[in-house]
Amino acid sequence: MEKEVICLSCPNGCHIVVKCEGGKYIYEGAKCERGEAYAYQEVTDPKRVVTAVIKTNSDIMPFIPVKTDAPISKKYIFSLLKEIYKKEVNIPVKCGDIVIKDFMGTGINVVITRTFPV
Amino acid sequence: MIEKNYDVLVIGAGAAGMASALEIASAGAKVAIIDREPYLGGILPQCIHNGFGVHLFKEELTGPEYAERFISQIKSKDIDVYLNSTATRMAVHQPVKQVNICSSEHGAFKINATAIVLAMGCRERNRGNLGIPGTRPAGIFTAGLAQRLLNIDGYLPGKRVVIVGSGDIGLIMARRLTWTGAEVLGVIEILPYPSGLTRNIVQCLHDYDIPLYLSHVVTKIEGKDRVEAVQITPIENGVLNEAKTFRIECDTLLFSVGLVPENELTQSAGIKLNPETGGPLVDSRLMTSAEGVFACGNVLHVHDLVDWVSQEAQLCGKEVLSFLEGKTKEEVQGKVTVGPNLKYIIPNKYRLRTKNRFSMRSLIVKDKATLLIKQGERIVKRVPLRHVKPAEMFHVEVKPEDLIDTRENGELLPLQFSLE
Repeated sequence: MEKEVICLSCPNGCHIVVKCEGGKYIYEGAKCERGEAYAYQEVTDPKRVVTAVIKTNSDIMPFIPVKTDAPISKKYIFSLLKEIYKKEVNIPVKCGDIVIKDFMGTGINVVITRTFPV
Repeated sequence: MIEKNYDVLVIGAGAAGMASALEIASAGAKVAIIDREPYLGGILPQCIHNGFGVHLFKEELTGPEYAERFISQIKSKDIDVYLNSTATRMAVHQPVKQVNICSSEHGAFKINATAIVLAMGCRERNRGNLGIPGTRPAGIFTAGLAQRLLNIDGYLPGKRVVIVGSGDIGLIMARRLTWTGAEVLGVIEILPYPSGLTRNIVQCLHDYDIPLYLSHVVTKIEGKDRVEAVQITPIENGVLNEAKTFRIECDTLLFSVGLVPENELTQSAGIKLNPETGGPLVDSRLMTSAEGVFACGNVLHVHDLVDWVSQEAQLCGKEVLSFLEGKTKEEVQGKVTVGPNLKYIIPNKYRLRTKNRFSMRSLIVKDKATLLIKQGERIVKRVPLRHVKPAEMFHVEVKPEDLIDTRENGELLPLQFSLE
């Protein structure tokens, strides 16, 4: 296995080539240890914060933004989005209100990111 | 017509307007803030992705969350907020400035103020700025407009999308559209390098295998009622290679081709603009050519991170307060000149007795660059920079102890900046 990762730990943006030989990971092109840690995460289980908008029962604010409260494994992104698009929330909502709790046992919640009405 | 009196009027309630209004109000000055939208926050509420506030709050917030940190403070302070209100005219070359305002909530009225903060932000460049030939069908949007349609109003602008320009909003929209079920067929960039931040290239394009065509141009838009396809031509050795033109069938075209400061109001008031930034020329106090009129945020120069907008606006607020107290009038200022490999520097003047904070953009992509600052022949400072590129703004401080009082014909020698 060989994979190229662009490190986002700092503005250097090292292009790191990760090779897996006999269960051991070898990194080429990382200028520091943070780069190796980043590349390891990216190769084994990349995670992202997911953001979207969710339907509400209000005509003035028909959609309200949400996010995952922590980065979630990339493999869950599209099933999570499907779940978010099915939901509808009732106004008023507050920043931080939980909309989906512990998605598929990941421990990750989907929370409101905009208070309405202010 | 009703007239209202304030110490300071802030025009625009986005990141810049809110931060400067808070700074000014915290010292007890009487502040009003106006905005044409029905809510506070400017562009932030539609930027639902995360990555805001890393520098200011040391955490990754979404746009609406970042805005809310400021909105809640505005609500708790004695600041008069006028929403759904547009400034239509300013008279600024007089001690008490007068601004005409038109509002669906408050009718037409005037605000008189000793100082004005311009914080109107910026607007997007569009198809007209590029002059792409072809028909004029539906389905052509700027990336920010598509973002608003999707994130505020809940409309999907299209299903098969091509994005012109690799600016950050376009990249963010590529991911956002992919997450909504649309297909993003490619991002077309005229330059040989992307104009957006690396993290957006990685997390918005690479993650979803969206092709980025560098050194490519959209040469034709096809379609009668709705966009049907675009033609794309590579640039080779500086010229279009028409033999290699290819076609992508799509129903939507988004433009993410840069932002320009929103300065119609500024210009019509007779305030001098900087051709390099499209914003007003400002002195070391962030004051424009009109005494008592200040500018900060994207109306002054387009920023890539909102954290720097808030920071600049806070500094601007402090300068407004010093101006109201009559403190800064006497300070001598010298010119700032932009040398090789730099696009622009803000502010356009420097001072001797107070700390100067400069923001600038490089014209080149380079590792291990050096910023050279000179006062006449004297070297003031050499600042090593790990990596520079046009997409990332950087900041440098020049302190009073770095400078000497050298003059020619009574004027301070210019402070010269260059990048090597």
